[in-house]
Amino acid sequence: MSDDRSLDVARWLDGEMTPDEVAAFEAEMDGDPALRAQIEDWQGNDAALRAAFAEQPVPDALVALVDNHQAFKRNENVVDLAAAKVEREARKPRQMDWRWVGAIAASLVVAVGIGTQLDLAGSRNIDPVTIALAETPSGVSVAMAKGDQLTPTLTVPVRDGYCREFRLEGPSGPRDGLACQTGKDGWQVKRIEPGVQSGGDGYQQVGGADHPAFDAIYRDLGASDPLDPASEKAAITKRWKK
Amino acid sequence: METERLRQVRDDIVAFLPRLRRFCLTLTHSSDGGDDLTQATVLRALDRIEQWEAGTRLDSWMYRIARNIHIDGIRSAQTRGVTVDIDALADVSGDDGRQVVESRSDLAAASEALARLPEEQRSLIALVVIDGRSYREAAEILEIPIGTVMSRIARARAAIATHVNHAGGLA
Repeated sequence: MSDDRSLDVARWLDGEMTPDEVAAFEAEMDGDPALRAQIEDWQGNDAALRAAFAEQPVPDALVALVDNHQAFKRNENVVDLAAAKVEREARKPRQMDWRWVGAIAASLVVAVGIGTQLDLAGSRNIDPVTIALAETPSGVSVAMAKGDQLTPTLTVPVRDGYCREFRLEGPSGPRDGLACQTGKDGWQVKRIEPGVQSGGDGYQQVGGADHPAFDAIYRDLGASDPLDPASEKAAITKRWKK
Repeated sequence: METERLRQVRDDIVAFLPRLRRFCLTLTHSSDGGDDLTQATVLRALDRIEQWEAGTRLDSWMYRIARNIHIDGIRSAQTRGVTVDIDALADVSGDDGRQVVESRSDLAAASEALARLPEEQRSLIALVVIDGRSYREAAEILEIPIGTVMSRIARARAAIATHVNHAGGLA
């Protein structure tokens, strides 16, 4: 890939193009499979980095340092960072549990509790739930923690965007969800329903695939037929822009 | 007696700590190093809080402090060698299912590729790709021209892709 082309790919991925440049570049992309493959490659790496460096809970000692920094400088030992380090070492094997479980729990509680959008941090796709919804093909699981995983299962075009059904499996049991991205909004979780185990080969939704709660949302949003894998891949590459 | 402004700054710093800590972890590539850098950054910021101009972004100012401390550390470490703790970043959980395993290896391969980048490119990936900052904001934080941001971020992504694909990670 030429240097100029690489710059364009980076600027497109980072939202640094003008609308005219975006339109021209996406037209170019549509006619150039090699360019598209390169974009998907870089996009996948970006997603992996965001997932690997998802925000984690901050040790109490660091928070205490902010409130007590003068005393800390006077060596009054108000913040025992050495003890905090020992504590951190002891917790190390569970770090990823907090990172993933914490992030997903917070996302789902907020999304379901107050019906707000999932893009919690106000910046692009930094929580694993959003990454899974925005960047993962159906059928591919995103590892959350020991046994926890989120799997998009279906992508459905709607009037002003897309919806995705997903399955969430973890210690609190299986759940099935529907999230949609319409207009300029980010991904929003519309419904979370309890899932049921179907005898050993996975989970299925309560009431089967035609969940009534999902149907009502689909009707409101003007859903059409689900995407096949190739169309879904194209939608991911175009970052869900129609 | 603490002023209202200082109380507000402290609250803002606490709210910013998860992102600052993640940035420091990205730069240092080790849990201990990341926390040590976070701590040093917080202390220096609070010591020099009068230098921060109210109305400008506190987070950008603290990112710049963190990066300066980190670069100073690299310079002083160059004479005694540096340890890169890649394993600390590869402990992604998830232990059943082939695709889950592949996801885990994707994360580890991308993290390892990031660790191999020169510091100047790693800082940019941390700010733009991981933290979602604009090129202009990254240019201001790193005190480099925006054209340099553009070319470095493209080179960094190309290097990551080469490493990941070579390692058999992301296809």
